[in-house]
Amino acid sequence: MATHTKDRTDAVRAHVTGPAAEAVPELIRTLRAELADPALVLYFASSAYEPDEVAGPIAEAFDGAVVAGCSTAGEFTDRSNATEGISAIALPSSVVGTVTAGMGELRPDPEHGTRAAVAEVESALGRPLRSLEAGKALGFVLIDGMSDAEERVNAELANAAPLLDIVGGSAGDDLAFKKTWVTLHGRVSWSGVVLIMCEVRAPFHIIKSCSFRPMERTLRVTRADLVSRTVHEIDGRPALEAYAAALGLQPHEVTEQTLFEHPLGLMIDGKPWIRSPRTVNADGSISFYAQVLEGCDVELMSATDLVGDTRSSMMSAVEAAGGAASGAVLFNCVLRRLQIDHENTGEQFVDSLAGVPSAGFHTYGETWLGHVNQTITGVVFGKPDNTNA
Amino acid sequence: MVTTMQRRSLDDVLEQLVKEAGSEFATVPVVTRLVLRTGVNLKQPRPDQRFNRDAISKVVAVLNDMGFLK
Repeated sequence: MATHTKDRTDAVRAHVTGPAAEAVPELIRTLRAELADPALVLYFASSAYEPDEVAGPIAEAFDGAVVAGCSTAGEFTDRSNATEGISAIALPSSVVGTVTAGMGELRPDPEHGTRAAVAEVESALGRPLRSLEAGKALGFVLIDGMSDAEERVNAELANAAPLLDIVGGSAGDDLAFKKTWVTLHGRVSWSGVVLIMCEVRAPFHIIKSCSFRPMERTLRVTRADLVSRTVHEIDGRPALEAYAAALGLQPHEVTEQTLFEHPLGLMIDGKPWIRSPRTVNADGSISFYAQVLEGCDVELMSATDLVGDTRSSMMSAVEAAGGAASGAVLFNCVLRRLQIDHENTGEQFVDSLAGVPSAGFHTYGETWLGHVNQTITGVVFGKPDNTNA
Repeated sequence: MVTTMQRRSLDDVLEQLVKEAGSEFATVPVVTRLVLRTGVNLKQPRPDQRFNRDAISKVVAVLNDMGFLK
């Protein structure tokens, strides 16, 4: 079954469910009915689909476009939020301009794989990424969600183009945490990175929103391991002990819910970059879904209004992009999806996308300038009439 | 250009970065990336980091990787 859009907007989105043999053709028909020759097609599919059932047919159907996708931990548009389906967005050249893309393998060497993806983009561009003008070029990145390589990928992207906005997400597998896939055209990787670069023609504004505020309890990370994303000591004490004390708890009182409700925030210009605790270890250390650097100060965070904050961010982005939006691509942390599910606010979450034709997926991590957790990142495109040119 | 030997503080590093990036506004994504990769905020360093050789070296190394301060 397809959610069909008849809105008169520049981007076209769709959301389908059901067996691939029916869902994929329906997705293609829905997109092509509104936009026959997009420049970029992004799709986000449940890991219940085999990538070969999805990647090849969609790439063939839009052989004039850059076509990329990944597996998810749920997918959504501004009309629906679900699991076990496929969401997609097709963007015209009047919005995203000229689009190039590359793909690399993250195993065994994430830096090498990322550089390969960058090199493929630069070969298609005919020039280095860093020659693209900030504010007029935008990158998307889809990263394998099980390689724990997001920081290394982002470092290589920054080395290649330090001034450019690159947003994206880590692929998911519907909370199985076994394997994820990314695709570029008909190519599939189970441990890959896909980089897409757009020389954008419409104004755009980046979204990064997390629904947490600092509790004004600063913690200094005094011993940490980057490879395992584990904090061993905070303020010279075992991490769990210091974390619990900051919350007024005994260590044994720290539960999964505690970790979920009180991540750490690395504050930059007054905004938190969230590091979500994943597990408490037997030795009193805490492992995270992102690296927490030794020697840095972090803030203990508490939750605010996920739906309200998302709506505010979307509306601000639309305003910043010129007052009217042609589309949005969004990457929403699966931890936020779990909160939405628990609070039964799926409809409100969809409504919070403020009617902007959007497609996105629930991720195992989010990217904008770096790797972050429990956040929604993405981009809102303005109308091509308010072009940057 | 401020050389390695003359970078006595993170302020010196920031000054050179702004010159190379073209404007303070242009440094915003770089500074954010630096915080995420080093824990050092080049624009608002902690007092203990401002003149710290290790912090300065770490920041300069990452900026070198990004193509700055070479």
